[in-house]
Amino acid sequence: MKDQDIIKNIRAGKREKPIKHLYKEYPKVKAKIVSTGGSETIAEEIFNDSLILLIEKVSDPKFKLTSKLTTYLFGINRFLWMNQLRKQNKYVELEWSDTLIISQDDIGYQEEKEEKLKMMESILNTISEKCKKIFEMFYFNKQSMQIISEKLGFSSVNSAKTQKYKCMERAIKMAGEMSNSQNATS
Amino acid sequence: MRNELNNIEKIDQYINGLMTDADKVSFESSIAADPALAQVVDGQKLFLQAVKRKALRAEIIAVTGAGAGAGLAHWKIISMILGGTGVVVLAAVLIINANGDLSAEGNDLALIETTNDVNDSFEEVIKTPLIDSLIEELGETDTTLVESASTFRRSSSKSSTSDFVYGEDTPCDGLKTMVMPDIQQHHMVASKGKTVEGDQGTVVIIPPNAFLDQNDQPVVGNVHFKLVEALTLEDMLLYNLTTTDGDKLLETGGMIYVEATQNDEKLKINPDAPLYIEIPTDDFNPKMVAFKGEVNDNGDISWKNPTPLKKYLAKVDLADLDFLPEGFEEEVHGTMPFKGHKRANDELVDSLYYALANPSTQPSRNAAEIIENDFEKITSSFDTANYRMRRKDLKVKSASKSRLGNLLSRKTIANYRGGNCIVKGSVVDKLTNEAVPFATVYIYEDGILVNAGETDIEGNFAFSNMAAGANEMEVEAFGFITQRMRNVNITSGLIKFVDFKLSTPDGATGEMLSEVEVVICPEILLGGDANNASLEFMYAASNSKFSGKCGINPMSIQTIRTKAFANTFIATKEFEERLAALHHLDNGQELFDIYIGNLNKDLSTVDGMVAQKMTGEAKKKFEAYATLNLTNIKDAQVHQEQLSAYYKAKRNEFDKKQKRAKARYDRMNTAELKQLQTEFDKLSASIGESVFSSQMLDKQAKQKVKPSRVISEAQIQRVSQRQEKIQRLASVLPKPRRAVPRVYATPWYETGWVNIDNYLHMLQKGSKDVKVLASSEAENVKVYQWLNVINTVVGVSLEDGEGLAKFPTKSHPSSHQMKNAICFSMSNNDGDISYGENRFNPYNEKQLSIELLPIGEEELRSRLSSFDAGRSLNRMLDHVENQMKKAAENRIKAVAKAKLLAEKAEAKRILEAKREAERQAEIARKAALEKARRDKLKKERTAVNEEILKEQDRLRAEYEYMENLRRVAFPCLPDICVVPVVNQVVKNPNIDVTNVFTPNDDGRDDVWTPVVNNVKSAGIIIRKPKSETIVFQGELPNLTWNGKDEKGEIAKIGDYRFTISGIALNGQEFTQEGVVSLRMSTRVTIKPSEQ
Repeated sequence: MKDQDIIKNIRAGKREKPIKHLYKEYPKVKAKIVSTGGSETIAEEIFNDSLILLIEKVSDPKFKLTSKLTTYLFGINRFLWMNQLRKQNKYVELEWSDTLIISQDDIGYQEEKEEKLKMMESILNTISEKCKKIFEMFYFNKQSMQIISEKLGFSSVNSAKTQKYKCMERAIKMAGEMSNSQNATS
Repeated sequence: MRNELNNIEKIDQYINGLMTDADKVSFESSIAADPALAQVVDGQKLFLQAVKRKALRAEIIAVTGAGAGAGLAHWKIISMILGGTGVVVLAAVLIINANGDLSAEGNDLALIETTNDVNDSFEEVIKTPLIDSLIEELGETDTTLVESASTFRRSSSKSSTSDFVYGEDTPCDGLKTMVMPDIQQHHMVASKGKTVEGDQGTVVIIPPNAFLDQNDQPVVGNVHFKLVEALTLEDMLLYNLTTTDGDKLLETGGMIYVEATQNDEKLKINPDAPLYIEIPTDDFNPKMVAFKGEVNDNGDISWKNPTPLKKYLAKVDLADLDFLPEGFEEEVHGTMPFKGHKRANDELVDSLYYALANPSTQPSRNAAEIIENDFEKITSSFDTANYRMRRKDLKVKSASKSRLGNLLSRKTIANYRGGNCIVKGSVVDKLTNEAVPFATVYIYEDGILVNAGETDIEGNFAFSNMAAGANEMEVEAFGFITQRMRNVNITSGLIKFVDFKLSTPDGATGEMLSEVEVVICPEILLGGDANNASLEFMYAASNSKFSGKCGINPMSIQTIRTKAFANTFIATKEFEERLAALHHLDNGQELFDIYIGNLNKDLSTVDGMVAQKMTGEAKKKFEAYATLNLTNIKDAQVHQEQLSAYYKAKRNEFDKKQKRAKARYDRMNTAELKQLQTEFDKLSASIGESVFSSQMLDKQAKQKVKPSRVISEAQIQRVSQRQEKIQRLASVLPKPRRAVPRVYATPWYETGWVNIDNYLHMLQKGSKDVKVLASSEAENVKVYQWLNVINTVVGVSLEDGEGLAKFPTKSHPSSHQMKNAICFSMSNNDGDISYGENRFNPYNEKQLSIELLPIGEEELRSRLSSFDAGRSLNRMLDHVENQMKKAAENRIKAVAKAKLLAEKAEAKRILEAKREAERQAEIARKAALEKARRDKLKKERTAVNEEILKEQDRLRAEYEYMENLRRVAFPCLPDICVVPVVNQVVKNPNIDVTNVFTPNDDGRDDVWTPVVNNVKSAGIIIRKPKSETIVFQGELPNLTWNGKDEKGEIAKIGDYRFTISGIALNGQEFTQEGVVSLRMSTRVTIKPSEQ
């Protein structure tokens, strides 16, 4: 798939093909990470994270690609892995071939924000199935509340909406509590 | 509650852009005014981002199956084979159908259409869960790393590279290519060097300081290194890399491009530290040479300056090499438990092997020479420092388990291999002088147990191969008091006879005999007098030792495991491979010695020398080795470290995977094994099916050949899945390891294009020419002729769109294979590629024309890759089939062998049990007899005692006499004892005194000095006459008496008694007494005679 096609598809919400295509780069990345002391699990995590970051970046209409997409992807991976190593107090300057050298600002990566997001994601694991479904359908698949309320068996659009906001409120509250307790103990 | 939800709703709408513009503006001002609100909005934004991410993550996992390792591998393999669409089925048809004749009529190289019938038979992919899980154990990486280098090659699934990070216009020395080449870029530091692995398996070892600038100055700092690989025919064609040297045809093993730059300035290669390049191959053709490519002004390439290839050996740690004969380790493991040891570790296996060494066999001259020349080096490697250090080790360990078992598990046994001291003797009952059988004899050194054994039924024991140093012995036997003897010094010298007399608790305490020295002269053991009972016992063991008639003396193996050999080709995997073969040959020792004696030559040269002394299969094998052009490790000084490290890493990776899979396989119980066998059989059967199907395919092929049809992807998937399984399974089943993949290797001194090719002279004797016309609007049209016999594509030079394709004449033996010839043409018109081909029989046509039509790059690649069919995949599948066959055979053999071993073991067990019972009965009988005898002999003991003692003395004397004779008859071997031989001529103490002295200050004999020589230590005591009072005491070297007494005054005149005592050189105590007269003058007073 050509780079421009990938970008077009992602922006149009047709993510399946681009993801499949980009995932072909995983073995290379994995090899690079494993060879510098990472485990396979970490490599997988990092690669998935990089895909997510890439998709997020690409989805921004202001984004302009200045190199090969895979080069950029490798750059993100390299950045994430170096970040990880830095957290383990290993300061390495990785030399990866065919890789764009990306700095934190280039991709707008903010440590704190990322931490919070990760925490949020883990909370989302704990919410009820129904809440998960609602969120997914509304925010991800961009379906209307009408359709959602029908599909999930709500009595009315309003009650679906209310449920959605209740879910959101609960999740955000949990996040708040979690970060408070974290701050308290840190 | 409602209120808060409202807020959330509002913010939600704002974030998702669902507010009206007016509302949006006012909301934003509220946010600006209220920081708390701003925070809430941010929090919600974050929340939404998290939700999206979560869903995205789930989508990724769903789409790619990420997390299921085996699934990914699966996918990867398919893409590898799919790259050349249709090739798999094609190859299957060719291989399974043809009887080795790949170009038989009907095997057209077109993609073949299939019917539904065929689809059905391919339908069910055999379900093989056990095989699948075994494969999963292996993980993702190439399991055929060692077996087939072709898996290094991947087909081109490259995306078109329109964007280049570095934006080069005409890369690779200005070569004009059809498509943009895939340039692999690496960064490195020139002073550190780097090992670069190309995507298709090429390895370039860049040693430190390999580059010079244009002024021939060494380059430091960052270097940008580029590598382009063109190992597949399709790449070569697309990159416009023809394979001709002038007008000579070349058969190619691969082409690569290397370039190094610093700050965009091209660098040269340092001739003292050249690059070392390895290109993987399946078909190792020893005649391959390396060419340098030159690009002319038209952007075409021609190949010049052929240079022969050199393959360096990678040095390996001696500890990583297995020099034991095949099956030895298994045998040891199989005969456990042994002497209280339930399982054998490496040290035990080694020491058991070395115990079979026969020091009496003349070591080969070559080994002996080396040992003599490197005596220093070798002794220093087992040296005393080491030995001392290990003794410290010994003291730390404490004996916890049974003594015998503990002994065998110590590393110390390994240390004492180096010795050749022999300790033997007998244990008798003190009272009756009857032998005590099955007494346990222990040998200690400084209180640490170093050896142990039992007396035989005659009461004799013997320990051989001991190193010097032990100094205590102990004997234990049921019913007797344990005897411990100190000062039993085992040093180099003569055989040590040590006899123990044990006493029963109701008898007197035992006596100890004094010792004799220890012998080391191994050759004396040769030809022991079989009739002499006590000697026979000692030689009995040597029947199981190396006889010189087959294989290799374990001593030789022991020898090469030393530092002296660590920098020779002995320390390589290649030698390990050869050694394994030598163990099986009658003249193995002789051949081994040839290697040892030619360590400075190229390994391939020595292989040739050795092959000359072989016959049959072995000869063929070693002749093949000789063609590999292997050199030595000396040459590769510069590349050695990197090569070794690289191969070690690869091997470890692969070994780990193999071990896991094998361990899993080994752990399988019978039920699982049965299941595996069934699955395997099913899988094999499915290949049979595909033969049938491919026969059908072939039929189709004869009828409808439509080159542009493609087989369904699903079908290809299924076939490739099966192939993959077979491949993987073949590698899982136990089989011998191959050391390194087959590669073409060469050191390389220039940047630019490197081509490993071979001359072929097919058209020397004239040719059949066919005129070729290629019509196209484009300017640069190229026509090629594909010579399937040698798997080469040759360019046909065109003039005005016309050219001549040459073929061997009809009378040439290869002409029948050329009947299905193909000419094809490509043109590149500003990025628009056109392609056309024409298949014909050159012996029927005089001319042909090719029409070019536009084509996409992907399709062009697939078209061109079909020409590569002959080589890599054919071999790979062939190979796999063979592997499967072998694996099946081995299984049968293994089962039969296991059965045989089990039977043997059972028989052995029965025999042992019987023997044990017999032994027990014997002991009981003997015990009873002895008691009776003991009672009887109590009366006759004195005479009998003396009789037996005399007999022992006689035997000893006779033995020593024989030993002396033998020492003269057989020339002594070089002394390979660990401890230098000590001069054992022991002199007796020598004391010389004068009888008189006069301490009267007259300058003559004022002091008295006894001269004491040949002693270790000595002291003197002088006493007053007729008294015990000591007037003088002295120790060597101060034995001089000045005549003064204990009070410090000159003693009275008289005859003083002196006693000189001390320790002689042989350790014995001695005493000498005498008298010294103290006088005041020498004048003799003559008394007047009494008349």
